[in-house]
Amino acid sequence: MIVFQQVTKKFNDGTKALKKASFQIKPGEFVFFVGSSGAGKTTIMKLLRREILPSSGTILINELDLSQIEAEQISDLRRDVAVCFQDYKLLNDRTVFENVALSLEIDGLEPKEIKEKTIEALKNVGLKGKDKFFPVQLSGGELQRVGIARAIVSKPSVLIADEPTGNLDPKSGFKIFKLFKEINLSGTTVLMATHNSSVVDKFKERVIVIKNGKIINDSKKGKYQS
Amino acid sequence: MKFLDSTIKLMKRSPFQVLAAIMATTMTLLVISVFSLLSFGSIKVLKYFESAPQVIAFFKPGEDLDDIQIANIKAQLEKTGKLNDFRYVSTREAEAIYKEKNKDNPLLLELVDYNILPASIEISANELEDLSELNKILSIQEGVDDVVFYEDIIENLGKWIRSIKSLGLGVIGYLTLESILVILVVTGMQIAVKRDEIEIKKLLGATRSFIIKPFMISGVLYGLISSFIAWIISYLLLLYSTPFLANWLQDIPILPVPFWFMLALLGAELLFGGLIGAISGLIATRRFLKE
Repeated sequence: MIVFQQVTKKFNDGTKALKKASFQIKPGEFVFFVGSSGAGKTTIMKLLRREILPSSGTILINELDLSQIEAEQISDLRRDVAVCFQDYKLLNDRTVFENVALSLEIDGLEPKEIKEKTIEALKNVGLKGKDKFFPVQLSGGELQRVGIARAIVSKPSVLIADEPTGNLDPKSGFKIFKLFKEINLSGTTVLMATHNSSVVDKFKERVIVIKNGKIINDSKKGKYQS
Repeated sequence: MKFLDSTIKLMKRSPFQVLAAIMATTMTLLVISVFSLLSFGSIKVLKYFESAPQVIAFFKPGEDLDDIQIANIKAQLEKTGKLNDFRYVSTREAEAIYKEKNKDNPLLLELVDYNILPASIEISANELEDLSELNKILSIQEGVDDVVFYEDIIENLGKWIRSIKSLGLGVIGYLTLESILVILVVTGMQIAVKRDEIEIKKLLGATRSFIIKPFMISGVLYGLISSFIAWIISYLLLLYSTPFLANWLQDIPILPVPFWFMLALLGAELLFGGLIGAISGLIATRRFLKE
C-alpha cells in the first residue's frame, strides 16, 4: 500500500512542486499520473523512491515512513520500487544483457541465477536474441524495453515509469504501454507519469490528474480530464 | 570475482592513470626495499663490530706472557665489572692466524714467523662507554707496546646507521604521502568518469559498498602490483651487486641475504602496498562519492 498524506515539496529556489497532495494506491493497481510539464508528476515519482524528501507530510510504502528510513533501507526501497526512465539511463559501454543483469548484481545474486533471470526478463519484454547488442545498436522502443527488463528482472512490487514513451513514436509507445499492462497483470503495482492522453483514455485505468502541484482529479476508471 | 572483473575493466579504461599510480607507488616501495636492506645490513655490520674485540693490546714482538701475568691482567679488568670478553693470543697463535690468512702467498709466509709477531690481549666491554676505562687499565700493563682502540669507529658507525635510518624514514614518509595522493587523484578521476554510471547504480538501489568496491579494489591492486614490482627490482639489484658488495664487506657475514628475509620483505611490502592503496581508495571514495 502506498500512502501520500498532505505531502508538500518546496525546492530551495522557492518553487512549490507539490501542494498538500494526498492519495492511496493499493497493491496491484495501475495508476496514471497525468498533467502538463512542471505539474509535479516527476516530483511524486522521485518522492516515492526517496530521491528527494518532502518538505511536509508523510509518505508511506507498506507502512514504512520514507522520511524516517536509513541509507541502507533506501537501497532496499529502490530495489523494491523499480523505475523506468524517459531517457532509459542505460550504460552505453555494456551490452543489453549486462545492463539488465546489473539489477541482479546489485541484489547480490550468483552468476548462474543472474544469467537465467536476465534471459527470462529479456524474453518477457520481447528482446530475445538481442542480449549481446549494445544500446547504440537498438531503436528507441528497444532501448525502453531494456530499461523495463532491467526494472522488472528483480521482481519489484512497484514499478514506476516516468514518461516512458516520451521519446517514442505512437506505435512503439503503444506497445510499451501494453507491456506495462502485462507486467501489472502479473501482480506488480504500476505507476506511470505520462502526457499521452489517448493511451490513458484507451486503457481505462485509475488516473490522478495534477495541476500546478495540486491533485485536481482522481478517477478510478476514468479519463484524462485536465 | 565479479568485483575483480569490474575492477580490471575500470583499470583498462584508464591505462595511463593506472600506470602513473603504479609507477609512483613502485618508487615508494622500492625505496622502502632498499632502506630495509640497508637497515638489515647495517644492523649486521654493527653487531659484527660490537662482537669483535674492541680493544687490542699488543705486547713486544716475540715475547709471550706467562699464565700468572695473564691471570693478573684479567683479574684487574674483571674487577671493574665491565668486561664482556677476554682473550689472550700468544705469538704462536698469532703466527697460526697469520699463516691462515696468507696461505695463498708463500712469499709472505717465508718472511714472517712467531719471533717477530706480538702476543696480544683482545677484550670487549659490556657497553661501549666502558671501553675507555678498560683501555686505561690495559695501557699501563708492563710490556704493552701498542693499544688499538675501536670505540670511535663503533660510535661513528652507530651514528651513521641512525642517520641513515632517520633519512630513510623521512624519504619513505614523503614518498608514501606522494603515492597516496597519486592513487587518490587517479581514483578521483575514475570516479568522475563513472559519475553517470554511479548515479544509475544508485537509482537502481545499489548500496554504497557496492558502488565503492571496484574503486577500493583498484586502489589495493595498485599497491599490491607495485609491491611485487618493487620487490623484484630490489632483489635483482641485490643479486647483481652481491659480488661487488661481498668483496667490499670482506669478513662481515651479511651476504648472501637469506631468502627468508627477502620473503618476509615481500610480505611486509605487500601488506604496506595494500594498505597505501586501501587508504587512498577510501579517502578518494569518501571525498568524491559524497551522498
